[in-house]
Amino acid sequence: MSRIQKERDRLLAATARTVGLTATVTALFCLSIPGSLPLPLYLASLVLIVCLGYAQWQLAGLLRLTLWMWVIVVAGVALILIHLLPGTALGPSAISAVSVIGAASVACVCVVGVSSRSRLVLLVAAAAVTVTAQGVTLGVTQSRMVETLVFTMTGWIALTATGVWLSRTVPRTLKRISTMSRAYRVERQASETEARRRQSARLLHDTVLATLTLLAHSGVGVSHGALREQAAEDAALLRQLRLGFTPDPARSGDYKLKPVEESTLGNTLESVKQRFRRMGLEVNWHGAGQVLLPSDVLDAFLLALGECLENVRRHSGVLEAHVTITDDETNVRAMVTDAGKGFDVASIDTGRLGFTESIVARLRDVGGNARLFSSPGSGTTVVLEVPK
Amino acid sequence: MTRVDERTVPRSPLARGAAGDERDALGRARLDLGFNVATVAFIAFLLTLFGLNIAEYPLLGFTVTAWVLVAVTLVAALVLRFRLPDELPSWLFLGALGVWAAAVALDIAGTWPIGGAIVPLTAAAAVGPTLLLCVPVRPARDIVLATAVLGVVLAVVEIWRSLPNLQLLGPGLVTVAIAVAPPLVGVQIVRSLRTLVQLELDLVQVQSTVVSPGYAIGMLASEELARLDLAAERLLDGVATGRTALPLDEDTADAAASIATELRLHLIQGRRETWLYHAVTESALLGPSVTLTDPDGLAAGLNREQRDGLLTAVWLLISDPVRSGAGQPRTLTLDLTRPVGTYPRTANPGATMAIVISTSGVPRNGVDPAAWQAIRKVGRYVESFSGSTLRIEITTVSDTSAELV
Repeated sequence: MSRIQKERDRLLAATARTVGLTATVTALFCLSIPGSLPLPLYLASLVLIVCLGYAQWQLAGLLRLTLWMWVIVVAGVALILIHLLPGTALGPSAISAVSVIGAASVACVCVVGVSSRSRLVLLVAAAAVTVTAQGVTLGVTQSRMVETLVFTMTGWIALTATGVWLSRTVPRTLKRISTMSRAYRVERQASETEARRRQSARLLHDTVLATLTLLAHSGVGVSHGALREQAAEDAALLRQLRLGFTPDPARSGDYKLKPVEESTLGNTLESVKQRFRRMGLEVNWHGAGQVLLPSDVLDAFLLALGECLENVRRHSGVLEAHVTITDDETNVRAMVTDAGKGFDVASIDTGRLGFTESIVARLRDVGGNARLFSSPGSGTTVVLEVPK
Repeated sequence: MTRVDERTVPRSPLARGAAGDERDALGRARLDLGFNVATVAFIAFLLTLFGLNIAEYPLLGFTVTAWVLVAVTLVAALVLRFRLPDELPSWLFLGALGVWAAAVALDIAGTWPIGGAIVPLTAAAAVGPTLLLCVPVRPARDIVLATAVLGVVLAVVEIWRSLPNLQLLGPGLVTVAIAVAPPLVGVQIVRSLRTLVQLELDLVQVQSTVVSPGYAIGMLASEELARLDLAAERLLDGVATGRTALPLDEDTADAAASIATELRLHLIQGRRETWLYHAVTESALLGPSVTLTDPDGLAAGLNREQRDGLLTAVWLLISDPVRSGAGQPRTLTLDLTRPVGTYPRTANPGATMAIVISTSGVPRNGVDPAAWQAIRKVGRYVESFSGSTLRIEITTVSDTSAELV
């Protein structure tokens, strides 16, 4: 027996039990009203009522269903026929008992009976026997018959309809649910794929995580403009990810916001070199290229270095400059030298060269210093110094 | 996970959306039809009863008016049903209750034993079967309350009228039963059906893990990841457009920190669990009741058949009391271990495993036969009872080519 069938039968049986027991209890009350049946017959009917109720109770167990259905029919019909024995016209309560037993106590079998063909035969037989028993009982005792028969018919029709509709609804519903399992599977697969796609966009998430970490420190330590720019870029990438593209941040430019303490000089110096080469000054690098600097120090250092090289380009008259980077535990030093014209340090207003503002002031802001050595005809040397 | 409430097993968060609507749409249209037939049959009977005794009614006008009121609500219910939203609006329900109260009052007045002739209450009793029509579209509480009030009123009237002649109490009781039983039985049917559908949806959802990879991120985790990405996007967008002022205030900075932390947990630690873990945590039924111990992730090594068997068995063992309407789901523990002595001799560790299912409160003969059938798909098993605790030890030999993603 398939699970769906079992669930259906379970529901049908539970319904039959409720209906049957309710009716049986009502019948018991009716029979217990003084004057319904003589005492010996009342006691006999109690036994039958107990049989009937027990069988109805057993329906929900779903075991030996047909047997219990037969017990219900037999006990119910016997209860109806017991009313023949007094041989006198039945009182209203006795008629009510006969009606309720026929219309619901016995009729509850049709809720469970509709689910199989063999039980359908039982149902038709049970209905016929019940109505006949009622007819005979009421006819022989010359009691009022119409209401009882109409009520019994009503009970059988209503309960059969309930049984039929339930037995169709349950399997249909369960089958439709099981077709949803495909939908669930697809949903699960899709969400799994989606999770993997998001996870595989690791490079993107690395930059997002780095930016988030900066933001978690309120964005202190980096310039606001740069932070905004990086945030815009990361947000755009996440949007692309959300809309179904798989963005590749490697192609959309390097990650610009190196967190504090992570910038190395090497890459940056290379870009400075390229910039001056485009302007006609060849810069030769010597010494350490892997110095780590805090970003604000790095900014000042690079700007000062750029200014020095710009001076070399404009005033020295040579097309080549040398930059030597050295570092010790506390400082990073850059020595910018050229073999150009040189000048008399004392005779030249250093302010005019922009040396003071653009180089010295900047470096002093971050705790560094700059020194200038030159004499006419022997080139110029600038020493830039910043703390690590 | 939500807790199991008294009436029904709640749907899991995943089933709550589209599936929930589907669930409501599924059984009800047809159920309505079955209830309609029953309602019409009962009302036809009561009307016949009225017709048979029509000559004896002392104040016919009242009873006829009562019947007209009932008929109007009945026709309105049958016609309107398909144009109304799934839940009957409260004002409409209250309006109907008002009309029915009037019908009951009129019928009681119309059958007042003035000349000593006792005639049956018919229109008042017909209110009960009419209430049956509201069962699928109103909360059970409303129906039960309305039915109880109706039952008490009718019972009081009938008992009071049969005091002079106790034999009249029988027909009175039957009248009360006709009024009260249909809506209450209807409530029971709808409730069972709802539980059944919810359990079934849960099973279907759980079973979708059967074909998923052995280790997976899981539906809940991927939703979580999408949510975090969106939160990060919003935050970054705010910073980029200048909506969020720099430097950030403390709250926003905290939010950024927590998003970053959660993202790291999801991405870098690569949260991956076995399909069985996901099946248990995603299920509204299994989640609160199953304790899963599988430190080595052995469940990933089970093949499709075995997974299906294991899940079905666990599900059947747990849900049995719920399905039979007897109460709460049972609790169950599920341990997956490598059997002692086979490892490391086995070439493929994880190919053999011992699964121990233990659950309490199962009657000795109360295990669904389908559960044993399902367990047989997983492997060889030995079951033992100690007290009320059922212990099932399963030894499996997995398919060595099982997907170990």
